[in-house]
Amino acid sequence: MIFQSPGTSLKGWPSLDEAREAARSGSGAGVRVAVIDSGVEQSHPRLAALKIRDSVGFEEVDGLVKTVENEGHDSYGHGTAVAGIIHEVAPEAEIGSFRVIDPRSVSRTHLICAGVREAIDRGYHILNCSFGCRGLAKFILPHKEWADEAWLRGAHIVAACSNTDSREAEWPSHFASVIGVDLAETTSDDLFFRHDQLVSFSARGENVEVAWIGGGVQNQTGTSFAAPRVSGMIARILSVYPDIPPAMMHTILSSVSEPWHPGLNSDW
Amino acid sequence: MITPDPFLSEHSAAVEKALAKAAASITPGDFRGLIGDPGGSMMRAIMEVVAADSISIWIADLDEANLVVTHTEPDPGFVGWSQSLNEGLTSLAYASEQSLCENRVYLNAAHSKRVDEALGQVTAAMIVTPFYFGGSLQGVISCVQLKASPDAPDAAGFSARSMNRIRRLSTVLERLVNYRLLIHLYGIEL
Repeated sequence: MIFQSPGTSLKGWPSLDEAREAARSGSGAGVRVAVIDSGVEQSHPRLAALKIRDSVGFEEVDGLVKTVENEGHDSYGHGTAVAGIIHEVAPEAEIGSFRVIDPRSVSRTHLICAGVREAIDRGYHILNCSFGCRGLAKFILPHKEWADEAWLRGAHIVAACSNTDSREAEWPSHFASVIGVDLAETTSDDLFFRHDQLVSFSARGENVEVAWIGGGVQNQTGTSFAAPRVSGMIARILSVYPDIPPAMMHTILSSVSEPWHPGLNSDW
Repeated sequence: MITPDPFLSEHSAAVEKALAKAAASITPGDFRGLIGDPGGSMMRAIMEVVAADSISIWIADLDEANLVVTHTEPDPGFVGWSQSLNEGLTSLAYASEQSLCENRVYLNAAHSKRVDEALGQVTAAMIVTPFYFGGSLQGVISCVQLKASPDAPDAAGFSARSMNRIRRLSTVLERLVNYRLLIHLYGIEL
């Protein structure tokens, strides 16, 4: 049992009350969040105060994966939306933009693997993956390899599940080491937890006004916009307790979440 | 999926292969007959329940260069419309195989305005979901809420629940089309 009575924590790890306080008041300071996505539009007015640490892209050139400078560019808008939500929840967190998704919102497994490994090597604490690869057997190993590497090196992976059914297998959200996030039908900023599914967390993701390319905003619905809310919450907690490993974070996050209930389900 | 009984599983693969082959050869023109009245009724029912103004099925042509509208409710005037697979949110959902739901979609530069310009309308909200049959992606289903002019107030918008309903419609239509293809392939008389 990791939690002792309120106010008496094990060395380096928070008690339940301390974790809740960190989730409420942590700023994200000192925490680096990698946005594995379509890039981040650095010049967006909503991101004016955002600290962008890296902006790189991964492209296939002559059969090789090349790392290119991304110069604060977003190929589609999705990554800018994700970064904006993380910034809203954890305003002091630093963001790294790792562009692996093209302007058609499509990626390739080897580009994702390259982008994630680069983020791990650069010391990012949280990897926000608002994407999913269809849960076919042939895709398991490449994705599990980087998910395991992140786990062993202490990086927290947060991944959006399928937009239409959280039980539909997708990688990486269906790996047990990953914090899988579903959309909750709510206007609350709370996180919600259920223990009976691989995708055990959910957060607001319906009709969310998000930053989009061109300096504008969009009203988007999807798990992609729920996952960064969880990444932001983890950044808050890590800014107060930086040594919490991924194995512990799942439990701590569940403790600061509200219980999931059927009213949050967007099925009918 | 056919029963995993080992005595039948070898036949399962053959049936699935034949179904995939039949599906791969279907043009948007061929597809129009596969939905029939039951499919049209389901589309209308879901359109009403999600408070959409229009719902359409788009099928990729054999070269996978364009998406072509094969069915539209309630007004069939849009049938035959063709759009490049490099254009618009419909092609984006096709390429990524992910459902999307956007309100105030007219703000999105990736949203093609060609349909609105041709039909004299403004699309306010949009859902697009992948559409499969024969075991692989064949097109998308879109549904929209419209407004009369850019200055007119937006409709209520779509919810995550609306998106799920369109996704479920896609699954039901997939089964309907697969059954029809199998009946045709094996000459089954009902």
